[in-house]
Amino acid sequence: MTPLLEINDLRVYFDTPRGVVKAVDGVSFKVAPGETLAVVGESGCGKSVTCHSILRLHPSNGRIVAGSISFQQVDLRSLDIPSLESYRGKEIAMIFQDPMTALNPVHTIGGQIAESIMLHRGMNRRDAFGAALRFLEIVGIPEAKRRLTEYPHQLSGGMNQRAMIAMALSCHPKLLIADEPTTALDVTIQAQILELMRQLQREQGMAIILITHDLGVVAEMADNVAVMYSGKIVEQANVEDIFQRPAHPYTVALLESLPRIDRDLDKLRVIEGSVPSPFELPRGCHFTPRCHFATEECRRRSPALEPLEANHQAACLHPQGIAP
Amino acid sequence: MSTASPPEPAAPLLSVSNLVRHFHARRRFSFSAPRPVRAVDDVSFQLWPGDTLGLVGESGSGKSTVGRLLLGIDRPTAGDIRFDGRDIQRLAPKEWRALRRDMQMIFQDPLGSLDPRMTVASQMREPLDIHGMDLPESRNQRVDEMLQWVGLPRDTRSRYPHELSGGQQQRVVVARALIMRPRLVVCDEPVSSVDVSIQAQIINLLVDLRSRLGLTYLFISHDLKVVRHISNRIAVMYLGKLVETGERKAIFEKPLHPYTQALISAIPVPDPSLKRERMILAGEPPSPVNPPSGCRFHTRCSYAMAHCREREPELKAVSASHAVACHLVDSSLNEPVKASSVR
Amino acid sequence: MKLIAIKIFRAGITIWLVVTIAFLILRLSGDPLESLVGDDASQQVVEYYRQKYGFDRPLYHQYLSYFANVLSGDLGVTLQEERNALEVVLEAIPRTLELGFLSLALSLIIGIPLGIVAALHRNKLIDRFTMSFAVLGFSVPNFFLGILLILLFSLWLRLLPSSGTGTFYHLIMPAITLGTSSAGSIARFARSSMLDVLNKSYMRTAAAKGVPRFRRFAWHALPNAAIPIVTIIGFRLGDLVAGSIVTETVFAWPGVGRLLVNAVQTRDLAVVQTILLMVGATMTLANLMVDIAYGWIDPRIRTSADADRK
Repeated sequence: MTPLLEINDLRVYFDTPRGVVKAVDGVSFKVAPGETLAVVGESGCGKSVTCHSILRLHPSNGRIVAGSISFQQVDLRSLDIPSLESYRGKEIAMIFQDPMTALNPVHTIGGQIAESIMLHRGMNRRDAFGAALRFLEIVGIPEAKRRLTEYPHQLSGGMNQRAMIAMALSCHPKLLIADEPTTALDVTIQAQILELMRQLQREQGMAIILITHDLGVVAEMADNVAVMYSGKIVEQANVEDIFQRPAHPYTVALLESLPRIDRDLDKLRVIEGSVPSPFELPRGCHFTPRCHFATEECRRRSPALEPLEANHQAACLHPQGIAP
Repeated sequence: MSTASPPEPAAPLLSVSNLVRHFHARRRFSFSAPRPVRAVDDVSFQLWPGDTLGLVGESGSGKSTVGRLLLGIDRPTAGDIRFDGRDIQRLAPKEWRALRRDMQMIFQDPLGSLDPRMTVASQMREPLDIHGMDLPESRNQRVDEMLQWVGLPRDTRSRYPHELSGGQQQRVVVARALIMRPRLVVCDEPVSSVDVSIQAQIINLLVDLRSRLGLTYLFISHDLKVVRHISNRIAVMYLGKLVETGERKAIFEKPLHPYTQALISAIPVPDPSLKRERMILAGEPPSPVNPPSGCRFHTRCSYAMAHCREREPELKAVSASHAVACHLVDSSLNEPVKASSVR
Repeated sequence: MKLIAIKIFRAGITIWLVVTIAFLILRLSGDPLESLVGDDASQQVVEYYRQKYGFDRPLYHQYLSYFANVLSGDLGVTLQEERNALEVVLEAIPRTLELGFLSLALSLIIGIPLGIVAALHRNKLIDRFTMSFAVLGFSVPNFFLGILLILLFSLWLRLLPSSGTGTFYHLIMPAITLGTSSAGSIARFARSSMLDVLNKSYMRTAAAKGVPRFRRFAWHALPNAAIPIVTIIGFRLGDLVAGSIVTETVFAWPGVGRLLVNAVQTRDLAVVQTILLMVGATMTLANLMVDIAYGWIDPRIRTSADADRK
């Protein structure tokens, strides 16, 4: 099956006064139509920059220095901005983290959704507002008609996020990139939103790239998972394998360090140290200083992603639990 | 709140009765009485020495307000707060300062809690100097000891907060809070703003120091997973009221209140093979300015009956270690409301 | 509506305070009769004038009668010409307004686009260039710039008249002088307001929707950036009447500013008080207008006021 989106050896570097930050340093993955890929990692690992650069929405001091981004066989990097703009919001849509600030405060909800529709589907204003209304209903906003003429600050966080989803879906995208869509929401609202996303994915048949740091959300939503650390993907697998047979020491340690709602744990496993500063990256594998299994060789060379079994790769010289 | 329970070994360290905090919007020259924000509405609980009470709730539940009221940062509209039997609202200034030694706090944002212009060592020494604890010569030793206990290298003492990582900053906050050997520590979302891999470090640290120093914690958090891990007793708040309290085991084995059930069920588990029955709440939390009549949860509760709209349920004990405020839980039956097949 | 009534009430208190303070300062800072009558006037003459203008009465008495007069429209008599103070001031106002409006318009037309362009090309050459211009604008003192312009255009090039009023040509240099510093600070302000907006999350959302650059600027950014700029304009409007004392003096422009300078020098109490009252009133009024306009422009304020009422 041809992948919907294919990223190959993507490198995004940032120019800062203190030097070059290699925020994304050789990332590759594929997303098939209709599937959900979760990109997981902690702050600074590069997951957001990777996904924002797909639509070239990364911060302006960052440059894509290498790699290919192809969507439905089209090389997105080769497109000029106006052509890329015809993909944004139409073939590929994005939703962001904080719904309270992600919508423009001086325009109505209806106006902002209709804007997308008029832009990409060529409808006139009246029809676009009608379509916007339907989408607000689809995402479960009560009294949708009234909300059309209301402003973002009049809605709660959960409602705003639903409106954002409505806006993102209004042009029937094939791929939805969701950047921490529920992090800023209460957990009961999070459950609602995730449920909504799953339902809409089924109905619309779109693929989702879900950026998150919450492994519980990953288990709920993802078909495939890519774990990122310090600008690189350290492990990639389907969701069952990641949780049941994690191979990279970082993934293993991360899973063991989580407090659980469904069971009592004695003591949480700790990953000593902290994420390396991008200005002082360790030589060789970036996880070496914190890794219990690091050897001299790990300090010498940075391992590439090697396949361990079907649909399971890890960038490690000593993958856990799986015979090399 | 336990009623008719077996005799407790000691008197409670902290006793909160009928705590109320209403916020009044400032309306000058207004002719009508403004509706208050009923942030905390008649909350009562007790903390025994050695307890860790996890106070859980989502935004608008009032849990952070409770924390502030206990610490004296905010004044209650009504209600009683007693520490070691003494009413904290009636303390003379000198007694207040003494109380400060016994009651400390740890907040969410470590960088905001630390003075950017003071070194770590001077910030940690400051409480000792202010309260005149120990001999001046030995205070520096205390600082070093504390740094060691929180797992920070000795040279941290001469650093400034911005030179430290988030995890290190939070450790300094913990060290500073505990340097006076308080008896009660109120933690308000202490791990919410650090990375996942650092969370475990801080949680373990708090657990460690609890046994080492014989601390009692009031652990306020929206993250039920962390609360489960660290607390022995749980209290669940919704819109200013306590809806369920009890020992950890009881709460998680048999959550009785529909909100507690929904809360637990809403939290995703890092295990894809577990297909849980998810209880998804409908609707949004109502505003604390205009709470629903009767049981405040009835607008989102799938089991709500007419009675729920009319009368507010009281927090009633169903066992020695478990209390619920719900009309549907008959205390004699002690049966949870059915949680399955709910949409 | 109630909110507006409260604001108006507050405005009234402000004006009253201004008047009272002005009254007190003037009375308590020296003998008003000094400059009216010469040094060599006899005691009798001094006493005569003292009684005539009521300076011999106790302070509170003077205050109360002044207040009563103000309320009934009588703002006193200028000591210089024995004319109605109000009349004198009112004569000067149109001149000041003329100058003020033109310079304000100039500063907006120059300042706002400059600031916005600078923000859109942040840190590039054009940004640094325009901002240096802006700093230069408000750093150069009015009198210096004014005199420089006079030297250049009046004395050297003989293109423009150096002082007085009458034709449009008389207006050009004073307006430029007054407008330049204003343009500078407006440019800075517009730039930071725009930069602030460009950094906001909703701009990224708009880009992610595929909204083209121009529309992002015009429909998404500009309305948000305009809100603080409108407030500034409002305050400047209030400034207009006060005029620029310095500029008017340099160009001998017969406006309120120059009148005030003269009146203070000659201790012409009535005129000074009248001008202060008028300036206080217009500034307060301008603030009030801005306050109300703000509530209308920013939907967040507009709708929350409504929600309050429900």
